[in-house]
Amino acid sequence: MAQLAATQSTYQPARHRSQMARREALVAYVLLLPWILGFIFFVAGPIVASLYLSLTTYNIAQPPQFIGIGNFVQAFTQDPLFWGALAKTFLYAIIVVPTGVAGALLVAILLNQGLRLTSLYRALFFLPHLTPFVAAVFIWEWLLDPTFGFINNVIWVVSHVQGPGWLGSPDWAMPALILIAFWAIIGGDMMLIFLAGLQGVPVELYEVASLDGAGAWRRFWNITLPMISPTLFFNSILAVIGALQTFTTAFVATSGGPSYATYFYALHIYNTAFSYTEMGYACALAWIFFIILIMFTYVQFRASNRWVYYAGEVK
Amino acid sequence: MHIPAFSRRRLLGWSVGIAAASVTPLLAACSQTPGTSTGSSSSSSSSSTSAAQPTTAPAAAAPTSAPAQLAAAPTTAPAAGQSTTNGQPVTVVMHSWLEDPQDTFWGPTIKSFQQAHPDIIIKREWFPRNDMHTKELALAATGQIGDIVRVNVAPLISELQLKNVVQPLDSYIKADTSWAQNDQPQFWPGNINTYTIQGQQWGYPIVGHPGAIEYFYNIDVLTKAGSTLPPADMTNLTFDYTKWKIADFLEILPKGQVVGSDGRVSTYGILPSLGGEGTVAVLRAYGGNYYNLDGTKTLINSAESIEGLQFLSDYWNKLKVGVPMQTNPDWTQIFPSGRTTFCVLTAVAGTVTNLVKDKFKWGLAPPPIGPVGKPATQVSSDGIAMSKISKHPEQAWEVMKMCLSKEFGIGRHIAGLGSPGSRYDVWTDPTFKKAEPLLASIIYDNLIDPKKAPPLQPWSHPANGRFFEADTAMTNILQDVWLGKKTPKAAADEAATTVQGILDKPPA
Repeated sequence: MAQLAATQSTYQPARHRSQMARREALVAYVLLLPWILGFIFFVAGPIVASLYLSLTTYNIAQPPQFIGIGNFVQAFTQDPLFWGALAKTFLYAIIVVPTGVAGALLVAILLNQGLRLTSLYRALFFLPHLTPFVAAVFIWEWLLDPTFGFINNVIWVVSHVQGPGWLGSPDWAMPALILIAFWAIIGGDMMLIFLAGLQGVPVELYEVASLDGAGAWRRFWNITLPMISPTLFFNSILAVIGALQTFTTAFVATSGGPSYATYFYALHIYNTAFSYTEMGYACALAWIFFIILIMFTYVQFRASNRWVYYAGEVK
Repeated sequence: MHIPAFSRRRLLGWSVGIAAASVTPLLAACSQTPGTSTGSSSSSSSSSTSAAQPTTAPAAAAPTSAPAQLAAAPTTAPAAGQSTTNGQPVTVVMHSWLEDPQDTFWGPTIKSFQQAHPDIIIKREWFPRNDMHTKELALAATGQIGDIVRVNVAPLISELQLKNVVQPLDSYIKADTSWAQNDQPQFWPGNINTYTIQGQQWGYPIVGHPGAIEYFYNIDVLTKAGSTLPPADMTNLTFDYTKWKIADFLEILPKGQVVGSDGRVSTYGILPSLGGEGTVAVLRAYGGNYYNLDGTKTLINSAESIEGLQFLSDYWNKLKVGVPMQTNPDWTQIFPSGRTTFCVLTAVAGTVTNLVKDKFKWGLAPPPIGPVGKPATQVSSDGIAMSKISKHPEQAWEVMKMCLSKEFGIGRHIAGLGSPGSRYDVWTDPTFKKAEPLLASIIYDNLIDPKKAPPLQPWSHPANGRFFEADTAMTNILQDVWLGKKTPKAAADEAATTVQGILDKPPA
C-alpha cells in the first residue's frame, strides 16, 4: 500500500502523457506541413492527374476526352517513333551506365590514394559537374564541329585522317553524346559518393589482407568491392534512372537527329507534349516509362540480395 | 504502447485524400475551354474536315499602283480618342518573345505610341522564343491570354486558329477604311495568303522576307580561283537574272571549294539552307513542294520534288562541296571566317556586313532559276494576331497597327531585331535603302517588286495545325538524303507516307 502510494505520487496520469505526445506530434507535422503541401499540390497531385489524362485525348485547347487505353495502344502499335526511341534510350544506358560507374569508381580510387595535391585533383575532376550543363553542351558542340572543331583538328594533326561528322552524322551522334555524358559523370556526384564509400572501408582489413599476401587486385576484388557494394548499388540505381531519362544533350545539341539517331524517349515525351500539344498521349508515354523504370529498379533491388553486402546485416 | 491520436498512419491517409481531392479542381480546370461559344467546337471540326479553299491568287491581289505612290500615301493616322473604360485608359496585353534586351527599340516605340494614344497602355508579356508558343496555348486554355498574340512562325497561325486562340481580323480591316485602302495593299499578298484560312485573315506578318534564298558569296575566293562571278554589279547594285540559271551556278560552285596544302578542305563550296524554308525553296525551283497550297496533301514524293532533292543531295554526294552536316550549323562563324564560299541565308545582309567587315569582298545573289523558269520563293514571316478573348479589341487593333506600320517595320530591322517589315513601302523607303542597299536592290528588284518579279509564294503548311510534327518528321527523314544513306526517291517515299499520316490526323 505504501509502495503503491509512493508510486502514485510520481505517476503522471495517462491522459496527461497522451496530451503531451499529441502536442509534440502536432508540432512536428505542422513543421512538416509546407513540404507536405508542396508535395501534394506540385508532385502527387499532378502525377495523379497525369494518370487520368493518359486515358484521354487532350490538346490543352479542348477538354480532355476519355478514350480508355487508346493512347497505350497507339504507343505500342501505331507510333512509328516509340520503339526506336526506347531502343536508342536503352542502347545509350547500356553503354553509359557501366562505363560511367566504372569511370567514377576509378577516379575515386585514384583520389583515395592519399597523394599530394589530392584536394586539387578532386576539385579539377569535380569542375565539369559545376558547369551549367546546357552551357557545357554548347561548348561540346563547338569542340565536336566537323569543320572547325578542336577535336577534329587534333585528329588531323596527329593522324592526317579527317575526323568523323560527330553530331552531324547518324553513326557518330550517339557516340558523341555518350562521350559528353562520360565527361560529365566521372567527376561528379557519383565520384564523390564512391570516395566517401572508399574512405569508410576499415584500413585494418587491407592490413590483414596484405599480411596474408594478398596483392592489389585481390584486395580490391575481395575487400574494396564488397565493402563499397552498397555505394555501388546506390550509384548504379541512380545511373540507370539518369541514363534512361537522358534529355538535355539531345535537346540542345541534336534535337533528336540527325535522322532520329539521338531521338531519346524523354525527348519524344517532350516533343509530344510541348511541340505537338498531345498532352494525353504524352502522359501515357510518361506512365509507360515510369512502369519500365519501376520494373528495372525492382529487378536491381532483387538482384542486390546476391551481391550487396551490408555490414551488420543479419540474413 | 501509446499511440498519439494524430498518428503517421492517419497523416498518410489524409495526404492521399487531399491529393485525390486536389486533382478534382485541376481536372475541372482542364475541362474548361475558356473563350469559346457553343458553336466553337463544331466550327473547329468543320475547318479540319473541309479542305481549305485556296484564297485569291497572289498575282490578282498585288497592288497595281506603283509602290512609290503608295509609299507617299500616309499610313493610318493614330486614332486618338477611342472610348475608354469610364475615362480610364485601357491596358492592352501583348505577348511576344524576348528580344531587344536593352529596350532601345520597343521602349521608345511604345512610349511614343502611348503619348499619341493616351487611352491605351501597352503591357508587354515576353517569353523565351522557344517557349512562347506553348505558353500562349496554356494561357489561352486558362483564359489568361492577353489581347495580342505573337505567332512564332507563320504556319502556326493554323494551330492558333484551330485551337480558338485567335479571331479573324476582316471586320477590323473593313471598318478601318484608311488602313484597308492605304496599308493593307502594302503587305505582300503571298504573306497575307499564309495567314488566310478559309477566306478569312487571322493574322498579319509583322516581318517578312522572300525565304532562305539569298546566296551570299565570297568574291575573293572565286576571283582567286579564276572563276566567273554571279552576274551582280555590286557597284550599281543590279543583277542580270537572265544569266543566273542553275547551270550557271553549278559552273561556279566547284571552284568555290579550296583544298589546302595539307590536303584538307580549307573552304567548302556551299553551306545551303535546309529544312522547311531552304529545302522547299529548292524544291520549288523544280516545281516541287512540301505540301499542296491548302496543306492537306504532301507533295514531297512528286517527280519534281525528287529532282529538287537530288540537286541538294549532289552538294555532298556528287560534287562534294557541301559543308559537313551539322544539326545547327553556325553560319555566323562559317561564312565570315571564310570556311564556305557560298552561304544561303535569309534577309541578313546587314548582319553579314557587320560580321565580315573587311575580311573579304562578298556579294549577294538571288536564287538561281530552275526548270520552272522563274525565281522560287517561299515567303517567310512571323506575325501577330488578336486573341479571341481580347477584352479591348478596338484598342488591340490600334496596337497591332503600330506593330504593322511602315515605320515599325523599318525601325525594328535597323535596330537589329530581325527581318524587315513585310510591306512594299518598307523595302522601298529611302531610310531602308540606305541601311540595306543590297536587300533594297538585288533582292527587292528581282524577287519582291510587284512590277518586275513574280508574286511571292506563300508558306504552305499543314492545314490541321501539325506544323512542328510534320516538319520534324520531314527534316529527320530527308537528312538521310544529304548524308547519302538513302536515295532521294526512297527518302521521299518514306517521308510522304509518314507526313501524309500526320496530315490525315485530326486537328492539333
